[in-house]
Amino acid sequence: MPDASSQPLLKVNSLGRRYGERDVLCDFNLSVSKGERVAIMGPSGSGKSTLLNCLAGIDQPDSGHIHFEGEDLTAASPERASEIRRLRLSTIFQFFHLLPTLSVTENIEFPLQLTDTPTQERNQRVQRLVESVGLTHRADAFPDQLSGGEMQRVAIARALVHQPRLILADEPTGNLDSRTGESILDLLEQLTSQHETSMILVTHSAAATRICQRTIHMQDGRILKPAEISE
Amino acid sequence: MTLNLSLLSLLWRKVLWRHWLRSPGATLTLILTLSLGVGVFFSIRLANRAAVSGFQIFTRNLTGENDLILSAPSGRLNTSILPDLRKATGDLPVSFFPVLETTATIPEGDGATDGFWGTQMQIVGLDIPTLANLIYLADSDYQPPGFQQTATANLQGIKHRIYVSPVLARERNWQAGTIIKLLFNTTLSEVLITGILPEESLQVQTPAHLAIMEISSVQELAGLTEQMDRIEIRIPPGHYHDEWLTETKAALKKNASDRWVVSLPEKLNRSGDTMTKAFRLNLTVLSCLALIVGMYLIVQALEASVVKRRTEIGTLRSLGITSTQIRIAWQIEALMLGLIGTGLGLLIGFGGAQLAVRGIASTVNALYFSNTVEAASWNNGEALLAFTLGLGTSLIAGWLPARDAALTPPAQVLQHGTRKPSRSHFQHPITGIVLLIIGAFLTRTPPMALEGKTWFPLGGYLAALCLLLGASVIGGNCFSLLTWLKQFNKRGRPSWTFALSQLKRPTGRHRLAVAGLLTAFSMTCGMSILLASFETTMQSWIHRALRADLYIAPKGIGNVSSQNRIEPSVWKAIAEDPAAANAEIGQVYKIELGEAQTYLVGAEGRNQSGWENLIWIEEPTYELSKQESETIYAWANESFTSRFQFQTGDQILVPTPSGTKALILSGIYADYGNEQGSLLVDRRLLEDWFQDSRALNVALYLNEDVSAIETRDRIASNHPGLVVRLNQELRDEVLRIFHQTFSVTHALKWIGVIVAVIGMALALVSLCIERRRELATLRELGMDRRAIANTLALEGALITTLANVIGTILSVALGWLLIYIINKQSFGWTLAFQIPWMEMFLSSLAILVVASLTSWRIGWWAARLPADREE
Repeated sequence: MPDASSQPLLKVNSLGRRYGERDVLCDFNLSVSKGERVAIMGPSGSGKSTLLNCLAGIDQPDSGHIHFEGEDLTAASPERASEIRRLRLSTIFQFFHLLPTLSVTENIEFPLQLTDTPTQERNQRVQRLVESVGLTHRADAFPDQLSGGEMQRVAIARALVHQPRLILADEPTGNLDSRTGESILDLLEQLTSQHETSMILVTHSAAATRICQRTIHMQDGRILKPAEISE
Repeated sequence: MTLNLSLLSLLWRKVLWRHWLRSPGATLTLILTLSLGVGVFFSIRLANRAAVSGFQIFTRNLTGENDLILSAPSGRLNTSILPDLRKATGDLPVSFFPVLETTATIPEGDGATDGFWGTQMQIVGLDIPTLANLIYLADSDYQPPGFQQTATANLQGIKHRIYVSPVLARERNWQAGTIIKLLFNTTLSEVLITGILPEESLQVQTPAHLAIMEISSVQELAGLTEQMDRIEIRIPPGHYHDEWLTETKAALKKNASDRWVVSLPEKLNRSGDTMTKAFRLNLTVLSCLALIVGMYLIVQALEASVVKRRTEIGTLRSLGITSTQIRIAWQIEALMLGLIGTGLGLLIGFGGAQLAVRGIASTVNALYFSNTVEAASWNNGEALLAFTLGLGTSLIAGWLPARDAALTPPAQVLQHGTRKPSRSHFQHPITGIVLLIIGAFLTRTPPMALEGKTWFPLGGYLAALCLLLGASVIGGNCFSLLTWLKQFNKRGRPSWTFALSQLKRPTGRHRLAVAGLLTAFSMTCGMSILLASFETTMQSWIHRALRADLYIAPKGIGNVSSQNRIEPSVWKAIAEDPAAANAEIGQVYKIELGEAQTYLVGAEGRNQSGWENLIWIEEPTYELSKQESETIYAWANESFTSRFQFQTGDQILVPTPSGTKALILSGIYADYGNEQGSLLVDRRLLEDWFQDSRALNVALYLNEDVSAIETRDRIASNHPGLVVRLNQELRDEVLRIFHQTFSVTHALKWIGVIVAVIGMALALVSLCIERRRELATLRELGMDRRAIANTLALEGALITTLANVIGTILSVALGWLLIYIINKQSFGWTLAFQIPWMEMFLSSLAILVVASLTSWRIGWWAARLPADREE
């Protein structure tokens, strides 16, 4: 459960991003505590993806700051941003993005190999997560042998294996049928709670917000006020 | 983190290597392509080296490591100088070893009608007893090869003894004690085999057709009494060696007075190398073509792999791998490809060299000097060069795809399609025009001087490169011209619409495909223009120059350096034959002019037909025989004037055994027989200067009512040592040698075209993978598999047509460059410009058909390509 009294894990202040003449993000503010799950909803073009890219250090905002565990991400070099992604952040994609040449186990293990985690620890963590996502029987299968749901389970396990502080989930159920989507959401809830991992979940689906403590609505690059939502 | 080796190793093992394993066919094709490029380059280099160096290196080893070489400024040395040499060197501990080289023929059949050439042997005459003595005196480990068998030989009443190569001995079942017949000039002589030479000496393989005889025997049999080609000089090793060497050299130079020339042994070893340098450089440049097209193919294939794995690269970036690490990883892939491909290429090249060596050796044999090399040996230096070039090619080819891979954003960005490829300055048409202008200026640069008065057209080759690059850049900007074809699609056929829409906005891969195809096509057609021009010129030259009814030469004459000659009694008898209306006697002597080797040719100066038979570049103002105020006039061929930079009216100082002669250059004629150059003087003057009446050949004009065939048969039967050919037979032989000379060139140009077509196919494969969502949409819209294949076939055909049209224009420019700049500067030959339109059209059509069919097949495959779920 979130600890309200502690320093926020992520703090976004007055974030702004323009593409040409268009404000994609405008004076955006957000705070996420440790273990908190926040849903962000909004129509296409509302700035959700740009926000996630800025949070992952892939895109540079034009104004404002993002502080992640006290470090200003907007001031980080591309190399430092890569290092943060390797160690403390994870992304889950709508289209899974598994590495096609690696088996289920190897895909999950890969982030640990990037951080030179000792073999024994690596094996233990991977085995635990393979079991947690219910894929022990498919451990040696390759992505092209898996169903969409199975692939997303692998992606979730890969996102959690190096114990990141924050997961950025971009429409994780968007490419799955409703039943599979439900089970993926349950899994995400269970595992993030278990590891006390914070999560920002970008979704079109109101149903998906059920696993989050808070839901933020976006439009035209800014957060809508409750009154605006009801309208 | 940038150079984190464990991470790079992880990427290699888990990502790149596994892709290799998952697509073994594609990986193998890529490796084989690079191997082929490296193999062609390496085999040509090895074959060149073998064809040129084999004989010279071995003959040096026969007498051991020499310190100095003494040779005549022209013609041969006379043994009468030996006392003078001893006197000149005084008390210095110097050993002299006279050497005389000649050629002899192993006659085939009855010698009258069988074959034209027989089998030619290179005979080296040595002072064998003195050599044997030296072994004991010098306390050396060196053993002259095979001579130890002399003591056991039974002379069986035969005066002359010979040591033959192990190859000949095996081929003909010869052994010590066998008596064989050899044709020296025009006389058959019996010699006794007293020993078989070792397989190799000082790690150099014994040339197959080499034989060694006592120098006195060679002098007698070849009619070269008291003559020597050179004297090899040895000074005992030890503390004073260098001092003695300096003193000996100084003493010999001081007493030379135009009777001899002192040089270091390296000069002798380099003579063949220098003589053929331009020829070998040209072949090497051509073989580089295989490497260049190999590079093009690797760029295409690696680029295709980047396209195919774009999502995967994006994912890696999302997982925290930096763009620099991605770039290094992809360069590592190029490096690994280079290592494996180059290693395999060296093996292929070594095998290929065994095939190429005979072709190149026979060309060297026909144009330069006698050569009997049949195998190429491994050379570490050449292997290192080929390896470095192959690896370099692979790394350079990998640079662009690696850069492209590194520019791939993380998956978050990729899936939203914000990545826009940018067009570099290099692709701008202005760049192409600037390159063409630079190329035009480079054609004006003079050739680069190499050792031994040979010239390398560096500016010409750089101009060709600029033209190719410039045309490639412009070609990449000409896709918009194809939209003109829209008017032919009034019915709105979807295949046309889709194919033209793709070419309206071409990608980098479209540009690269056009560049590769037009480069290969224009180089192929440029070479065809050169060959057609050469052949037309040769035909015209043959028609003009070869007018006699019969051509007579000693058996075994294969090139200008052949030593076989027709004795005066024989050629005089032929000239006085009742069937003969006129006879032209040919004589050739090798001379050194400005430390470079060339030929002094004797012609019938008082015979008007000599003038009429030549094609004049600058018609002479004086006949050869016309002497006013003791002025001696000479004519020179183009190779001579371009090599030695002489013009008509210039005085040329020519060394002869009778002293230096001053000749005035009075005319320049076209001649395609050799590239060392020939200087023509009245034959009778040559006889006086060289005190030698032997003839190289005789051209016989017959009386009108005489049968040429009957006369040929009669002369051949009267003189079994001669080969007598009809006019047409000689013409055919000249053309046969011409075609043989360019056989390697033909093979190389078609390798280029094949690789370019494969390159275009790979480009289309990449495009299909990149467009798989569009192709899926086409299917959803109702386009069947055949229609999609037709679309791709049309796209491939249009790309090829564009490349062929620009390539045709470029090939004319390249042909002009090859004929008027590169050939002229290398060989000095004036050629008539001839464009083989029909051959070029058929080549273009063949490439178009193959490219269209290949594209259709790719379309057939791509039509089943699943739409990627990830994008």
